[in-house]
Amino acid sequence: MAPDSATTDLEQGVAFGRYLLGEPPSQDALRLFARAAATLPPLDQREARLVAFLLQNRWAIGPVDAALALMRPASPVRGRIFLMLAVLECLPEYVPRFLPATRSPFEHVRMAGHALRALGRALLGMVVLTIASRA
Amino acid sequence: MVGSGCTGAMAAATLIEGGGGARVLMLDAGERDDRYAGILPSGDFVSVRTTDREQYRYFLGEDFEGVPWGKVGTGAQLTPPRRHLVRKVPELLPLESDSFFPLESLAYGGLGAGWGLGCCAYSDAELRAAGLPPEAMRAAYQWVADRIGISGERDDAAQYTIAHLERVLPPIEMDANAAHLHASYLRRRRRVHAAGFRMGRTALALLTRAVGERGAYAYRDMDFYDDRGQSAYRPWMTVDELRKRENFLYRNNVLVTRFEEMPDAVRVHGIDTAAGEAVSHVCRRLVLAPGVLGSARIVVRSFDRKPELPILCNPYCYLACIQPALLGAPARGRRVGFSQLSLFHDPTGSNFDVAMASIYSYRSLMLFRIVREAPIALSDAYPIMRYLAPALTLVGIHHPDARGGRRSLRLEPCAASPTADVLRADFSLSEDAERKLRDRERRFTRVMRSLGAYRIRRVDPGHGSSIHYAGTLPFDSGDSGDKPFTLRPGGRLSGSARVYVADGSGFRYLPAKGVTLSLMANARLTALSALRDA
Repeated sequence: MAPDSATTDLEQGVAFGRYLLGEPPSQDALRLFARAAATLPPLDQREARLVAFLLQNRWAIGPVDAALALMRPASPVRGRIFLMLAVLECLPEYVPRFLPATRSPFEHVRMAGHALRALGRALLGMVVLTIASRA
Repeated sequence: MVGSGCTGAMAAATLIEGGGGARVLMLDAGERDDRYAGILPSGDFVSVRTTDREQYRYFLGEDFEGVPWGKVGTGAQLTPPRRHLVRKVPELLPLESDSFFPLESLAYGGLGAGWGLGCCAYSDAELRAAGLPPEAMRAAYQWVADRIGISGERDDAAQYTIAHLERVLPPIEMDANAAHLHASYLRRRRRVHAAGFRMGRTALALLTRAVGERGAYAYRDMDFYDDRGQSAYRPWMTVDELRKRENFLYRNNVLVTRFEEMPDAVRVHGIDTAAGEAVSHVCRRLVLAPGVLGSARIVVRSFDRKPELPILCNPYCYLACIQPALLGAPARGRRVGFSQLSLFHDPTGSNFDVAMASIYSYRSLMLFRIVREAPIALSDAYPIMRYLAPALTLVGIHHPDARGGRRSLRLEPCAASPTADVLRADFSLSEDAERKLRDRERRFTRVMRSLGAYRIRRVDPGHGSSIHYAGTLPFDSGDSGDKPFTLRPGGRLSGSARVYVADGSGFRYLPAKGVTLSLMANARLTALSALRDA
């Protein structure tokens, strides 16, 4: 089981930030996430094992997040990804991702793409989550 | 006077300004925001978001206490700068229930510090059902309105809100979300009326013109975070004013627990919330205004018998609707955090048994709060929610409440509590009431759909989430005048000569319309009654 320490908080910040943004998060985002994560209760054994799995298999973060949203929406692991999202929303460099200034004609198509991806991720995630839980 | 909320402030102002040389001591827990007031910026929401690197401090909280995780419950909209409203409540006002989840406050200004500002005057039929005198209440409504400042429009909804009020300020300008819905209503007005609904601008205790030291609403969209400019009325403003008077004394850090009535005075007992010591004060007359649940605790503790008390609370849920025409619209235009439109369901046209929806657009509570509700991966949820947010219309539906079903409050011993007791609450509606409520919600859904706003989700935060409570010590107009645990008309506690209750404890019926204006008007009547008896 991976220790739930400041080091893993930082690792989680890097992994969850990259998952949410598609690029490495800023140093400010990591610093804030580490501070915020330190206020959370420690993960239990099952959730800590899942985090360790995700840090070793970062491709699985999206599918597992999607599966958790359906199967265990109050999961503390999803709570940590959510915490990173809240931190990112409060940093000026990421504001355009949360407060669009213009209306794009391709927005409807992009949203349909997101919806399809969300569906695919959920299906894959349910398999991955089952495997990760048994590992 | 016990409590500094909307009712305490209005009752105290009435006593102080009523002549007769009354001297008022206000006892109050008086929790204040001592953490965020100094760091909240003066800019508007969008400029803050794009420039302030420290914005997480007030949007998420210094301890990240504003990042919600878990079930949506009562008070979910409280942002870090407003969380002092509930500070010390779990310890000092313990309440246990599986079915009732109220919000109480020990803040300076009480729950009024986070009030949504909606103002509705009850109809005569509603006032009579509640046990309130219509004519006197009309005068009290006007007195309160002149004091706090109300903006609104004399439109289709005015009969449910401000019809009888004079000197109403012009309404605030609508944002794109509200304007789109309102335009749709005006086009389909006849059909909406035929379905028993009326829509109009929400009357708000919000200044649209500067009055005295209070400024006009500045459209900063920081309404959930600060009171800058004081355009939004908060009861602490009245208490601050009163504190400049020689005949008014404010004492904070006091939780009043009970009273003892003596032949010529009342001894009030409490706890010093800072030092944890017992305190007591003697007064000629005691006016209780700590909120309905607070008054229930104090009154029950003050007598040997510990009865079950009734309770009224508006059933509440909200619908998340989407106006497709606004999908993906730029999110940087003007937005308003307060309700801008109200929708009333009055199928008989009698202005009685009316259900009310307050309609909101969404932005300054941040995207993350709604992203967590999406049952999909967060990296897909936030762009989708960003796309949906400009089109998102929240419809908070309040239903009227009369007695029925199983509901009770009991004060039970609890050694772990500083007051040595805990309030136990049960709340359920009768099957008939549940059925009627569901039917009405379906009607609200249908009418919103006819206006081009499509429901995507219904959220039921549970009983107590309306934050409208009443009826624990119902008015009794019987001749004997000593039925225990009831109030005489005018607010005096039955069987008592010197104790008055100025909050909503006496209401025998709770209309769905926003209760705060009526609570303040009733508080004035109670204070006038206390002055008359003096």
